[in-house]
Amino acid sequence: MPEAVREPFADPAHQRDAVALGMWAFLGQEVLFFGVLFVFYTSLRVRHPELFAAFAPRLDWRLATVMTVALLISSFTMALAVRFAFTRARRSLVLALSTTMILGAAFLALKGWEYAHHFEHGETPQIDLAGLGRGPGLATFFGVYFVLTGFHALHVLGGLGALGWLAVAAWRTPASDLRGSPVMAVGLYWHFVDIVWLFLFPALYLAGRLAP
Amino acid sequence: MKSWLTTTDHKRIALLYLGTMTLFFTLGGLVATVIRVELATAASDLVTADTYNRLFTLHGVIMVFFFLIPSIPTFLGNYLLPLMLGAPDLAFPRLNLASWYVFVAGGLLTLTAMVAGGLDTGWTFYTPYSTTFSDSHVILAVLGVFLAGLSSVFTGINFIVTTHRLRAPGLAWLRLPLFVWSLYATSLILVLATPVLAMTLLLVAIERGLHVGIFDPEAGGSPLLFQHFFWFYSHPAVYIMILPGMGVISELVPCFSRNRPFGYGFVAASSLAIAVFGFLVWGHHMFVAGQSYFASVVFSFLSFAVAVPSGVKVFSWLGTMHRGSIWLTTPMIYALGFIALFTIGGGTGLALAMLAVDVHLHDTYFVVAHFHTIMVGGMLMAYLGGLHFWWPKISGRLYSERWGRIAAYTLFIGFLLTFLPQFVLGTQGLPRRTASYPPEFQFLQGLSSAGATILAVGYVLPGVYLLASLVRGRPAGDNPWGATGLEWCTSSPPPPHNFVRPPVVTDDPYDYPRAPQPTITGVGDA
Repeated sequence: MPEAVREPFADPAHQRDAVALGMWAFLGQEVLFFGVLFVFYTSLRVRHPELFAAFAPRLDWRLATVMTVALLISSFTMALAVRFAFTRARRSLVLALSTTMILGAAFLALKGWEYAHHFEHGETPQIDLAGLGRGPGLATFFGVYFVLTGFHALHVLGGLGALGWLAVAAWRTPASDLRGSPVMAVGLYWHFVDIVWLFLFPALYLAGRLAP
Repeated sequence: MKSWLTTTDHKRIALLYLGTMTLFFTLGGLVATVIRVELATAASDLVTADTYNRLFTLHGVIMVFFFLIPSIPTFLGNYLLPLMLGAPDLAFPRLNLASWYVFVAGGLLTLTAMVAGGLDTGWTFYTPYSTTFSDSHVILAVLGVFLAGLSSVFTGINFIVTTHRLRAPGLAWLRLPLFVWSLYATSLILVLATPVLAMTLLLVAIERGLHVGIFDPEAGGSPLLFQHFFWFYSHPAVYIMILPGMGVISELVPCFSRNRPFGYGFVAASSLAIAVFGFLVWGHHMFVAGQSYFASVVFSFLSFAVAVPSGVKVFSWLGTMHRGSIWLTTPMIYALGFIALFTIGGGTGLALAMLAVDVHLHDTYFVVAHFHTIMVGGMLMAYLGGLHFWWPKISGRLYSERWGRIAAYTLFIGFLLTFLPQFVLGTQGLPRRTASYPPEFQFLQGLSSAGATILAVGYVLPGVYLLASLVRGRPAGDNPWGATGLEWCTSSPPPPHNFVRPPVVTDDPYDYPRAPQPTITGVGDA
């Protein structure tokens, strides 16, 4: 990873600039990617608000708050990692990346525990094929819940992979050869995934609670 | 062989794309041949109706996702963008190679679906048919198209960053070649529209495979939502297909009119305008699908608005030729063919954007003819025009100009004969996507099939004489057409890092009155 300046670029600043622009463009497409899911959510919520009033309270908002806090702190440690990468503080960089990974992994572990809990209580998204015609219900709500949180969890998983790769590379690289661009790019991605969760949390866990 | 498969040189990756897409185009073309043979007679006698569904789906999926969308960006764009910018390569060479591998993987998945029994949903994957009822390989196919989309996103990001960050010293935005402007606008659509299709196809796969009721009305889902998602991508996608073609024409017309492009700034801006407006018209695919009348009126109006920047381009090409010195070479014949057919295709598109008229023409052969006039008549003409224009640069060889002209005229005549009858069939109300039809349509369908054979000859010819030129062609020299543009300042083919000395730009583009003299001989006067 932290490598020399690559072919088409004249100097490190030029390359850093290009990497940042590339990551922003990628995040632009991620916004549209998740945008589909939020439109799907909105469409369902507008047409069937009663589903959210009935089933959203089955989600544990206290657990989700803990997960939110974990992700928010991980964004802070990620921001530190970017700083350490540019100042070539190798040990601090490895520490910050590892902390970010631990917090991300804790988020996923809680998410997995929550999923298992839902499945135990029959709160699954599968529609009963034999029971077609029964109309929207529990499976519809948990459909949107699992699809939205599932795609988000996959993005967290991808982020963990990238962080692990950065941490290993930083561990192996002498401090003088450290480069900030890759850490900065992964950092942008990590913050984005965080922000998506900040929308998912109220949209799913807090939905219907204020309904009269 | 290994050096090709691990190359990060944009020129070699462009040629990898060329080879792959030529295979897909040939496959899609062969399927089209079977379709036209079936339609030569009124009865469904060559294939069953079910097989016919799978054939037109195969044709549509392969041609749209594995040829039309990637064609000009990934081949000509990949090859020419760094050259036109005076850069040694794209910004992310390894991402560029990865995009090709992802594209090939997507193609193989889709082909697996086709070989394993095919897909019968049409290229539009409409729900609930695709998610619940279709007895074909939907999941494999949508995953294949998903990967093709991912490859598009990679290419789009690469082009955007390259255009922003790797322009040669002195190459200001308003000095960029018009082809670069069109690629930039296309890349914006690639990056901002493709993820919507990608997620939608994943949702189709999830609904079909895991029985989650996303689009299923029985479970509270909405099939109309699928159509909104699908066309939110697939309408901008037709601009992904046509915008780079327009960019190619904007290079050919000034060169072969020996004149500056008329209204350079307007043409550059019109590419961006088409990209922006293109995001706001998807509902015109759904006039009869049950969306609100108010939405339909707005979508109809916005669809008319797209005609304005498109018209700007046509007027620019005509204005560039006006008082120019027109040189009727093979690429220029393609350019003129493009202008004629694009105008027909665009005009009939306006007919379809009219609310009342669309009710009659919806889902008839008129739609088929309109779409193919833009795509085959417009886009493919531009693709072949660009291929012939830059072939001497890419291969370093000159092809037979005589055969080039014969092929171009053959294609033009074959095209008109194939698709003009389909406009008439559509106005008479013949629905598309059926293997059999009432016998009174026999004559026009027969005419269309006959035209398709001429079209097929027109496609085979370039394959023969272009390949022959690699062996027998005369050396092209650096700038056979006497064209402006940085790509003509380096050798043919260019060296690994494009320029021996990094170029510096000091003038506006398209200074044709002071352009170098053409060095090509025996193709008429410049």
